[in-house]
Amino acid sequence: MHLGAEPLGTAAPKADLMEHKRERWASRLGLILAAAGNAVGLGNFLRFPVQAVGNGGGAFMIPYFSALILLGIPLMWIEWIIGRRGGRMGHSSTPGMFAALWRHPAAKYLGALGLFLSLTVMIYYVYVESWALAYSLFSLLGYYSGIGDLAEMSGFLRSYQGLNPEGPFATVATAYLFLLVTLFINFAILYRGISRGIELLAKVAMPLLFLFAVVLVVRVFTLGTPDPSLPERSVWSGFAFLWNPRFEELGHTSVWLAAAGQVFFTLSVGMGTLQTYASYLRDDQDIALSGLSTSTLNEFVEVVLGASIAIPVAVAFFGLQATQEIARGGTFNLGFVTMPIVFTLLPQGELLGMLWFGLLFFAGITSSVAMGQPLIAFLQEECGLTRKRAVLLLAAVVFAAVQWVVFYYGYGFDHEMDFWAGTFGLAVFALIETILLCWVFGIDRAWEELHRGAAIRVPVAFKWIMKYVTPGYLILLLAIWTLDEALPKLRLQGVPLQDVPYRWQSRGLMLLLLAGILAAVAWAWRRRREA
Amino acid sequence: MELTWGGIVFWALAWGGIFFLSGYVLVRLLKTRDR
Repeated sequence: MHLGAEPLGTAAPKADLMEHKRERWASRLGLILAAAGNAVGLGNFLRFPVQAVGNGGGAFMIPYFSALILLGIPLMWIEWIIGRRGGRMGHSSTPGMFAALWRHPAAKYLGALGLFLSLTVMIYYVYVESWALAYSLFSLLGYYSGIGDLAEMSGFLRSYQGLNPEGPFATVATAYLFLLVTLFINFAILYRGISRGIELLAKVAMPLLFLFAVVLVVRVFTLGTPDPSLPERSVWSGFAFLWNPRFEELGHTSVWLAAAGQVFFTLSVGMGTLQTYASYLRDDQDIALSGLSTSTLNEFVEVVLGASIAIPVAVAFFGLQATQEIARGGTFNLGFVTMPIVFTLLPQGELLGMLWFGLLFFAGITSSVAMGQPLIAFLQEECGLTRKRAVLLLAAVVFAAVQWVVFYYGYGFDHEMDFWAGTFGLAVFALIETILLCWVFGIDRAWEELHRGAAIRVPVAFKWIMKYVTPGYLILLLAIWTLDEALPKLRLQGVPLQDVPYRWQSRGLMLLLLAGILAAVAWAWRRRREA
Repeated sequence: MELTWGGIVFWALAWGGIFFLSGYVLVRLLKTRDR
C-alpha cells in the first residue's frame, strides 16, 4: 500500500542539503558503539533483573525473547530504515522523516511526538544520571562507608534527594551541583557534534562500561557465601532466584506485558533517537547488520552482565526475602541503596563502588546525549539555528524543566513523565512509525531500503513480522496497557492525596512541552514554504 | 534456594543464545569491515 508516499530517492530538500553539510559517523565501530550506548542504559543493570525475578525467573526469558524477536529487533530495523532514508532527504529528526514517508500535513506532527518523547525522558533521566556521578565519587571517597543497614542507606539517599533534612545532606544543594555538572557534560558533548562528540564519547565510555561490568561480574562469581553461618545466602541462591523457571507465571498476561515493556526500554526504540543516529549514515552504508549488532550488544550487556550483578549480590548479603522486598520497593533501591551497603562490606569496596556507579553513569550519559541529539538536529535543520544556538536553547529548556523534577522529587512528578512519555508514549510512537513505514510507505520498499548496502540478508520471515506481527503485537500491548494501567493512572487511582497537585503540574509541563514542539514544527514548515 | 536443572537449562539457553548471536555479528562485522 502506498498512500501517496513520494518515490524513493526523490524530493530531497536540496536547499537544506546545500545549507547544512551533513555530519557523518567517522567509523562503523563508532556508530555501533554510539547506537549501543543509546540502547544500553540504567535499565540494563537495574530494571532487567528486577523484572526477571518478579515475572517468572528463567521462564521470563520465553516472553522476553519472543518480544525481542517479534518486536524489538524489527523495530530496531524499522527505525534504522526511517533514519537513513530521512538523512538522505536532509532530515535528522522524526518530523521531517515522517513527512518524507507520508505526504500528508499530519505526518510532521506525528513525527513531533518523537521530539517530545526524547525531550521529556531526557529531563528526568539526566537527574538520575547525576546521582550515579555523585555516588561514584562518594564511593571513592568512602562517604557512605560507615552505613551498615538498609534503612540508614535509604535515609542517605533520601537526604541526598533533599527529602530527609536530618541526614548527612541538609539540603538538595549537593544533588543540584552534580546535576549542573552532568548537564554541562551532556551539552558540551552535544555541542561537539556527532563524530567529535557523541562518537568519541561512545568510543571511550562503552569499552569502560564493559570493562567495569566484567570486573564486577567476576567479583560477583567469586563472592560465594559471604557469611558461612548463613549458607542459604550465596550468589548461587541469587542466580537460582533469577534463573529457576516458574512456568505457572507464564499464564499471566502481566508477565508478557512486562517482557514487551522491558524490550522497549532496553533497546530505546519508540523514542526517535535511533532514527537520528541512522540519519548520519551514507545511503550505501549497511543498516541491517548494524541494527542487529546494536541489539545484540545491548542484550549481551543486559542478560549476561546486567543480570549477574545486583540480584546475586543482594541475595548473597541480604537473603531472598529482603531482596524481594527491595526489588518491589523500586529499581533505584537496588542500585542506590543495596549495592552501596555491599561495597562497604567488601575489601576494595570503594573501588568496586566507583566501578558500579561509574558504569551506571556511562550507561546513562550515552543514552541521554542520544535523547538530546534529535532536538539539536531539528533546531538546526528545520529551524535554521546554528549548532551553538540549538544547544543553548535545548540546555535552557532542559534546565528550566528539570527544576520541577529536582524540587518536587518524592511527589511522583517524575513518575508521571516516566509513564506517559517513557512507557506508554514509546509504544504509541512505535506503532505510528511501524504503520507509516510498513503500510503507508510500503513493506516492499522498506525491505529494499533495509537491504541497500546490507552486510547481511535478513530472513524473509521478518518482512511479514514487520508488516503484521509487530503492529499487531503493539496494538494488543497498547490495548491491554490502556485498560490495565493508563486509565487507572489517568484517573490518578492509588495516588496519595498530597501528590495529586504535583502530578497535575507534571501533566501541565508535558502538555506545555508538546504544545511548544508542535508550534515549532508548524513554524519550521511555514518558514520553509515561505523560503 | 538451590539452582535447579530447569534454572541451569534456562540460564545456559539465555547466555548461549546471546553468545551465539554475538559471535555471529562479530564474524559478519569483521568480514565486511571494509564496507
